[in-house]
Amino acid sequence: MACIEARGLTKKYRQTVALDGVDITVGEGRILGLIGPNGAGKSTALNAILGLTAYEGELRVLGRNPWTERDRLMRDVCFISDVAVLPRWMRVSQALDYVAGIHPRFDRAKAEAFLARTDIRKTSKVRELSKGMVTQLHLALVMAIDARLLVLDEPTLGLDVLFRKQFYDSLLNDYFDHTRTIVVTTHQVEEVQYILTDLMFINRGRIVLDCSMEAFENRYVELLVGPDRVAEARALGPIHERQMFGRTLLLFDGVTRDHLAPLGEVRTPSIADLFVALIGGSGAAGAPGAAS
Amino acid sequence: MNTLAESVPDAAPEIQTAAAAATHPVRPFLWSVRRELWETRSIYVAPLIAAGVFLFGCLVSARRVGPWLRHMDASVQSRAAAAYAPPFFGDLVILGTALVVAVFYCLGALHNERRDRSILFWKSLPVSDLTTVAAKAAIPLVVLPIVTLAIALVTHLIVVGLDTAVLASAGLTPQGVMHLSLLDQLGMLIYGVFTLTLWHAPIYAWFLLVSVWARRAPFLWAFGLPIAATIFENVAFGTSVVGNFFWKRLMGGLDAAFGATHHGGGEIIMPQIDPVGFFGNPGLWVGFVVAAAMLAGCVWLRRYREPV
Repeated sequence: MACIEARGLTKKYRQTVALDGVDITVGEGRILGLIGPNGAGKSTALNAILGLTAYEGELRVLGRNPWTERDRLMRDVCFISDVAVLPRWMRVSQALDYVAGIHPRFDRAKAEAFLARTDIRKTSKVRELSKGMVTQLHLALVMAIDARLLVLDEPTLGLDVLFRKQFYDSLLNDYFDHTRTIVVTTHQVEEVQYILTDLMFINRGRIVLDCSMEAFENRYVELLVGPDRVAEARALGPIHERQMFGRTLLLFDGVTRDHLAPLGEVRTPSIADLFVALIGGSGAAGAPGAAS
Repeated sequence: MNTLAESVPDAAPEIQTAAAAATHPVRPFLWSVRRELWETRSIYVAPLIAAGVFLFGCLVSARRVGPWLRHMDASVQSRAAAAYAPPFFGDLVILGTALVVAVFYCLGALHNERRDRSILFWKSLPVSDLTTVAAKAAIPLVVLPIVTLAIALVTHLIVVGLDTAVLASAGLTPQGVMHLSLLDQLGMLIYGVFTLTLWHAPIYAWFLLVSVWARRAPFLWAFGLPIAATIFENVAFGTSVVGNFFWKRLMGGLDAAFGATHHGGGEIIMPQIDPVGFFGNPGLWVGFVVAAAMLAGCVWLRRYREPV
């Protein structure tokens, strides 16, 4: 059974269409990166998956309808978001007590062991913690929950580079075990590239790219070529090109490395580069990676 | 900064049994109520402060009233004593405080979580909107009345003790001054809190509904709409049916619970509890239906609610 199965997922606001008939399938044990410019529909898609917003179309998450079965679904799903903030009045100890009280799959000892390795004191209120510490606390709560799907919506926004690095390290080393599914959206694409198994680009409410990271690495190739051979390279039909230190960087879709290697330097493009190639030209503002 | 990236011990087997307990539907409700008490400590702090201020006032006045009664002419002494610091006044102060706390609690209950965006955190946990609304409605309808009653009962007993001492110092006995036995007084207090809470149920439900519905300024909407309706009716039709309706709902609880308390002649007549009349009052039952409908509206609306 797929973890997330969406057919024709649509969400309209009064003026705009946030999601325009999107199909999404995420298998269990995958780590999907959902990448798109601001206002592309990423958060709307995640909110629909979490049962936080009504939608049109078909959507099953772990076999359930998130809109009508949110509370039941949330036993198996966890959510960390830049905007889903912990209540500022709450004490750390109260957060532990409360989640332990209401969540059937919460392992309090695990969360406490986690917190013991941070500078967070249990008597502190959330409002007294730094932004990085609040995220650590939220992560400690979530990682102690034996969930099947973890949804991360810009989880590291506004954190310094140490916290960001640590966040993803913790996630991979302590949490991910190949049976759990993770869906993450972020603007800091380069930080997640090495952890993803699947990649999805979304722009203006539509899916622009949907492939596994293996397919991504096989399909897209970047060639750095000198001015003398650039015409030859262009003849192979690059999908994007830009100048770099007097040489030309060409991005190819479906051209083998063997073909390109004689012309210059061949490498796997970064997700950010591909994003710019596929979406940057279509007039969308705020390409990922630009902010970092 | 310590690193989180080290290994974490695996889940202990006893977690499984704890998990079974946590799936019981009452558990999330009780923890949600507890959560409300963590967030809004004024639920018990404000009535405590009201009781404290009242008791302190009684203490100060006791030093004054004792000599005053002693030097009074015997013919008016007992009337004057009856008018002095009746313990029921303290009950009203505490109940009134609780009413104000309840109103402000309800107005913020489903609004603040949207304003501080924590609603996304609460909704990411396996607690249904029904449980959440039930827990929030339980504060003014169950928790606050019990807390208030406990504080009022203790205060009442202390004031009675204090009054007895003051009257004794003037050579009077409480039996000669007060019309009700202590047991009757406490019974009346319990009955009063119970009936007043039931009578006010639709008011609390209304404030909760405004709290979940209004995008901003729930206070203005909650009071503004009834006031606007009253003024409109008054200007347009020259009648005041709507205004009387709201006023009766707000202030008529004691009348409904204790029967008619207004008698002519200036004689102080102690009110009689009237449970048959109270529960036979159609207004009470209409209020229940309206309250239930509004609470159902809260559950339905909260599902659609996002941060504001």
